[in-house]
Amino acid sequence: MLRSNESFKIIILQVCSILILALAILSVGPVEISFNEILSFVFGGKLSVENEAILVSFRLSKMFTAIAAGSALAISGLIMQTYFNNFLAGPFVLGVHSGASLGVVIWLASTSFFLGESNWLVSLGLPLASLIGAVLVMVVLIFLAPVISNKSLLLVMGVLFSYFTSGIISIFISIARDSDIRSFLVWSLGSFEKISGDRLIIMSSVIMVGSVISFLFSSTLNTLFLGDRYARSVGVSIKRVRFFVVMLTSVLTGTVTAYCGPVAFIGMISPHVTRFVFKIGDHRVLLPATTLTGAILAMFAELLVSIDFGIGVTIPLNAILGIIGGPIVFAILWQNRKGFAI
Amino acid sequence: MSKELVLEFKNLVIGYDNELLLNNASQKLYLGEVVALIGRNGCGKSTLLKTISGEMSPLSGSVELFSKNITRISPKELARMVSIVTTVHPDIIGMSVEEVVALGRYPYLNLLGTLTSTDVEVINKALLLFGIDIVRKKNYNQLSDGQKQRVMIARAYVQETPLIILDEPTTYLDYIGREDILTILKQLTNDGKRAIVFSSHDLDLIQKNIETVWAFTKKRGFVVEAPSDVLKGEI
Repeated sequence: MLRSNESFKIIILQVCSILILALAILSVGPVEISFNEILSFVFGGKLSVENEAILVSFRLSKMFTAIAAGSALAISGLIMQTYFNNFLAGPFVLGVHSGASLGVVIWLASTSFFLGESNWLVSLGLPLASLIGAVLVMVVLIFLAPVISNKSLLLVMGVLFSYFTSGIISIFISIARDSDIRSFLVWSLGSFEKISGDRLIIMSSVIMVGSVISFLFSSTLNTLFLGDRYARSVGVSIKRVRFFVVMLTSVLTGTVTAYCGPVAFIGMISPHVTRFVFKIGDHRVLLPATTLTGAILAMFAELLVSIDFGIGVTIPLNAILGIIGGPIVFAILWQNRKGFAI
Repeated sequence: MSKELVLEFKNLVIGYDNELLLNNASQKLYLGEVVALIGRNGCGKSTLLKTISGEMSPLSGSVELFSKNITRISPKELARMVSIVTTVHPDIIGMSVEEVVALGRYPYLNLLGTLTSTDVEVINKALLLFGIDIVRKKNYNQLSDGQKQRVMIARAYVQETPLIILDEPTTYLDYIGREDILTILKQLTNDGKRAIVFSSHDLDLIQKNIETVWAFTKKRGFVVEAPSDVLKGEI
């Protein structure tokens, strides 16, 4: 009905930026592959054997991982912000990431001890362990939320929970075998790389299904703005909404956390950036647009990870997200310092 | 032509374990009627409204909509029978006035939530009717309390329910605004397709505009009569 033309233009712009970022991600790295080479390869041309190997087995998969993970986190962040009516909510801030991480670490530590690291059971159970961790945190939050009238309190509790889990994770790391420690640490810094083949397919299909269900959920999300009483009066089943909110956010966050580690800030920031640009609250536009913003942010961060700044090492993903995300969150807080939005 | 029965409650008992607010009350409401619910703060007005809208269950007794027990009506069906306007305005960020009004169409939307031309027509009509057409593109959050109240009433209107229940709809309005709202509420029922129950403390305005009140009186209990029959100081 409304403002659809303007929104459509911005969405086209978002898609264009995704294409440009995709080209950049495919091109930048220790071995530079020119835009021309990539474009000709896309349209059926040939590349040198090494370049083709780099492109297909490494850069394409990290590009798709970034797109999938960014979208998933953004959707889950938006759903949380709407449900809790709290614009600072997000998978990271509310501790859903931590729950997922805890699930992953406990699973890895216990199974790899008995089964060995490369056992297929270990990698199969990984997303499940992560999902269980995420669901548990979301369930606790959903039951706490109505009792807690102070909105900042819910966030503080999320942060406290993150400290609590990182304490437990540290214990696991300190008792783990040396070979595990490094992989734990690397995982906890977040990364869109090294996910390929089957794992990439599983991750992106779960995220795809989750996104489609979320999109079908968008007019219901709109009614949540009115609060429980009004939502119920237009025929929304609050119980069913809670179930969907728990499942969608946990599945989306949990899957990303299992494969890419606890990726910070994207979930919380993407809805804000999108609202700021689109000036719209209707989830039928906001949700797809936020999904694209999430993908753009993740790709941009991944691009910065790939760039060699001349220091000889790559900067971890969460370091980059922290450096970009921190100031953005500060700006959001500053803008809302009188407190009307949170 | 006999009027169609919308709402009937029988032997209704509402309240809490240690305090009964309404004991064994029965009443009927027909299409085309506007009823004002009056009484002191805490006397049970909101509880009665929540009971007849199906949000709360009575301690005993029954509530029927179109002769069907409200407990047997599915939430979807109920959403097309009763709409509400509460005393508290929700905090809605990032939505325009017309988008908030459009939320009332939720019971009629398909899975994708697309508005049909019928939906848009009803929404446009509501925006005009409640005098918020000029602010339709404005951010809901930037409105005054009085305007927000009109938006929420318009939202209930587009839900196109035969019964509209409003909890103190005139609270945030100035004197002229209050009279306007009462006039509109009466207009809405003129075509005989709706019935309205609203609670209010504006006894003077009710006496001027409304024919029937449901009153919680101190001595006589729950009575239904013309507003002029309810004596000053009685409630």
